[in-house]
This record gives sequence, structure tokens and C-alpha cells, in this order.
Amino acid sequence: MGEKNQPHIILVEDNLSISKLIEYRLRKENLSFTAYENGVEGWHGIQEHRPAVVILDVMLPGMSGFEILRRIREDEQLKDTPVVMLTTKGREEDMKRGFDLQVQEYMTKPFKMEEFYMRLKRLLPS
Amino acid sequence: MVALTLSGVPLYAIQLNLPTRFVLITALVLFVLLAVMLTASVVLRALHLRQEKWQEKLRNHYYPLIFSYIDSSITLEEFNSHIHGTHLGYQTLQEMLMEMIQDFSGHEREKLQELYETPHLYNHNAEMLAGSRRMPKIEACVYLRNVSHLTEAVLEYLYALLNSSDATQAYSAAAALMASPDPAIRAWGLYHMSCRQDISTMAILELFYLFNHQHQEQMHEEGYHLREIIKDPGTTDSHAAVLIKALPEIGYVELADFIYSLAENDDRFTGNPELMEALITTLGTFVYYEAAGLIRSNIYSPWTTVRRACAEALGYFGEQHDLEALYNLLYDDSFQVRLHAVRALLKNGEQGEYMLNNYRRNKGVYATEVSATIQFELLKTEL
Repeated sequence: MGEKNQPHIILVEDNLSISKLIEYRLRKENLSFTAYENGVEGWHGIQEHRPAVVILDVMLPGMSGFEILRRIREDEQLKDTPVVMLTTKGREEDMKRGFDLQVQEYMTKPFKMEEFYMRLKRLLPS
Repeated sequence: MVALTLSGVPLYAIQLNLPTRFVLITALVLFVLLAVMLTASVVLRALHLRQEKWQEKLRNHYYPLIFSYIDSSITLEEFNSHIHGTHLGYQTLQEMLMEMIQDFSGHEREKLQELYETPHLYNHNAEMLAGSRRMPKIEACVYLRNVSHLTEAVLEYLYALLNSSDATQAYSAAAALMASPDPAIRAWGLYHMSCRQDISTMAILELFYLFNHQHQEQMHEEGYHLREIIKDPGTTDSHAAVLIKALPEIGYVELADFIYSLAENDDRFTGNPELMEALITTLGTFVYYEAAGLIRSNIYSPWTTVRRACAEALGYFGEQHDLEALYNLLYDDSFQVRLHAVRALLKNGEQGEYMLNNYRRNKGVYATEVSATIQFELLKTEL
């Protein structure tokens, strides 16, 4: 989705309401993206598209967000890809684990869409 | 299954020498019953799948509308004109909004809350509440728990439900009343449930947390109502005890005087181990120094639970008198009491440790056990 030659974003989130609202926002900003609800499909999508930014939920069916993140960091061609992780409030240990795996941004649910978009924008190549 | 029925039943019947006609009729009846059950399950499954499909369609219909409302592309009136006026239509929208409210904050949350409280949804639930069917009434109460305002008509129905002989309905109504910004209305719900034997203490605790509207800064008014509920003779002893113990969790410190007065001279409370234990536990958690003498005087109470609560509470005070009282509790008959006395003494640093060493040196009756408990507690702290 979005225009060609634009930085591509991959969204891996199984919570429908969150993914739909993020998709709506990305579409409104005319950004190119692909969304997945499953961890395994998400990882294949990342390998295929080599996105500019990945938005990852922590808890995913198939493969966890941390497993995807670990694979990204171990892949020679993907290791520098900026990642935004979405986690639930009260799971601060996730945050530590994510920062150990060089997560660029962390968003704790419930979150403000505007703040999320501002952080995402900072990670996109200008 | 059919084959088994048709073959199995006659074989069994032949063994018992039953007449052939009887066997055939029995087999036929069983066959018909099985056929009816199979058909019913297939029909139910089909209906369920149809409903799921419909819900999926409705969700896809609502998502863009919700997002358009969030970014103010459409007005509330425009949104309302697109709501499906069926029960499933309302139910799906309600579920979607509830999920989304939990996931977002700030501007998005405010807009989602506006949609959640749109008159269409509110009135639909008010109608369900006014109806006679049990489940829709409970569903309506669940919806009302999350609104910010309850109309007079809805309040009347909720008040009536509080007296229902069905505990689930009554509890649902009380929980819905907790949405009211008025603490007196919330207290009415909590009070009614506190008087009922068929409501569990866990349910009372849940209502207590809902009763507190921290964002509204109503601690003083809430405290007043809690005081009335706790001392009301209609409130069951178990529910009064659970409410007393929960007070420090929210921080109703200004009720400490009241709790102390109950522990000192209210016969209903001083004569009941469950209530007395709750009062002493709470006074200890509040670190209400004025109560130290009263607690010390209770270390020889005939009730183990009360003595255990005293041991726990005295650990918070830590004055010489309190440590001496704790030392005496190391000789208590109950292991629970001795355990809490050790813990309380350990909490008091050097002075407490001195007392414990003294007890071991004097070879108190339970010296070996106390030594083991100390080791275990220290190990726990290290871990």
C-alpha cells in the first residue's frame, strides 16, 4: 500500500483494533506499508520487503515479537532496521529485553496515536 | 453412532430375552433422538457461523466510521446514522469500542468514550435493563459500568435490581452503580451488597476498588460513606472485615481514628475475632501509634488470629514496649503467632535482633524453631 519509491513499513500486530487504527493513520499519511497478524508471516514479510521501519507487537501468534527482533539483529542485511515495539503497560521487563536487542522506540499500550506517529516519523528516512 | 445403536441395542436385548417388538421400538426411538440431536447441533453451528460472519461484516463497516470520527472527518450525528439498529449491531460496536478504549489514551480515548456513550448505545442498553430477560439485564449492567453518567431512569432500574434474589443480577447492578460520579450513589450499591450473605468477600473487594474514584478526589466523601457501611448492623461481619482490611490499600488514612474507636469500645467489633483481627491489621498498616497500647493489650487474646495480627502490627511500631510484647509472643502456643513475632522483630533492626538472640540464649521453649525461622527469613531476604 502507498506510493512506489517510498520507504516501506512493516506492521506485525495481532490486535485488530490497534492494527486497523495504525493502518488508517499510515494510509492517511500516504505511507507505504504491509500489515501482518501472525509472527511467522511477519518475519517472512520483513525478509521479502526489507522495510525502512518495523512496528512489532511483543505477543504474537506463531512467533513472538522478540524472536522476530532477534532474527532481524542477526541478519546481516536487516540488522540496522529501526524497530518500534508495542507492549502492554506493567510489563517493564519487556522494555529491558527490547533495549538489549537495540529497539529504537517503545510504545506502551494504551498509547496516544499522535505520539506514536511522531516517534515513527523520526525513524523514517527523510 | 446410529449403527451402534441399531446393532448394539437388539443384541443386548436378545441376550436378555426381550420381545422383538420392544427391541425394535427402543432402537427406533433412540435413532430418532440421535437424529434430532445431530440436526440441532448442525443448525446451531450454522447459526453461530452466520453470526460470526455478520459480526465480521459489521466490524468492517464500523472501523472506518470510528476512525473518521476520531479525526473529526464526521460528526457524531453522522456516525449515529450509520449504526446498525439491531442487537448484534449494537453489541458489536460496543465490544469494539470497549477493546479500543483499553488500547488508546489521550485524544483517541476521549473520542472513543464519546462514541461509547452515544445515545443510541446508551438507550439500547437502558431498554435491555428495563426488560424482563435475565442475560440482557446483566449485559446492560456490564455496559453501564463504563459510562460516565447514569440517567435517573437507569438509576431506578439499577436500584430495583439491587434487591433481586438473583445474586449475579444484584451484583451486576451494584457494579454498574460504581460508574456514577456521585459517591452517595456508589455507596448505596456497596452497602446493599455488604448486607447480603450470598455475595462473596472477593466480590465486595472488587466493588470496593470500583467505589474509589481516585481521579475525582472524593476521598473525604468516600471515607464518610465507608464509615457508615462498616458500622451499619446490616453489614455482615465478613464483609465489614474485608472492607476494614482494604482501607489502607487505597489510603483512607483519615479513617484511622474511626477504626481505633471501633477496636477500643464497640462491643460488636471487640467481641468478634474476625472483625478484631481486621481492625488490628489495619491499625498496624496505618502505623497508628495511638493504638499501640490497645494492640499490646490484645497479645493475650484467646483468639489466635487476633494475636497473629498483633504480632504483625507491633512490628510497624518498634518502640521498646512493642518489642517486649513481641518477645512475649515468641512463647505463644501458635506457630503462626511465633512466626509473625520473629518477622516483626527482624523488621526492627539491631534492637529486634538483640531480642531474638536473647530468646535463643535463654533457651526459650521454641528456641530451635525460632533459630530456623530466622535463618529462613534471612535467606528469603537475600534471595
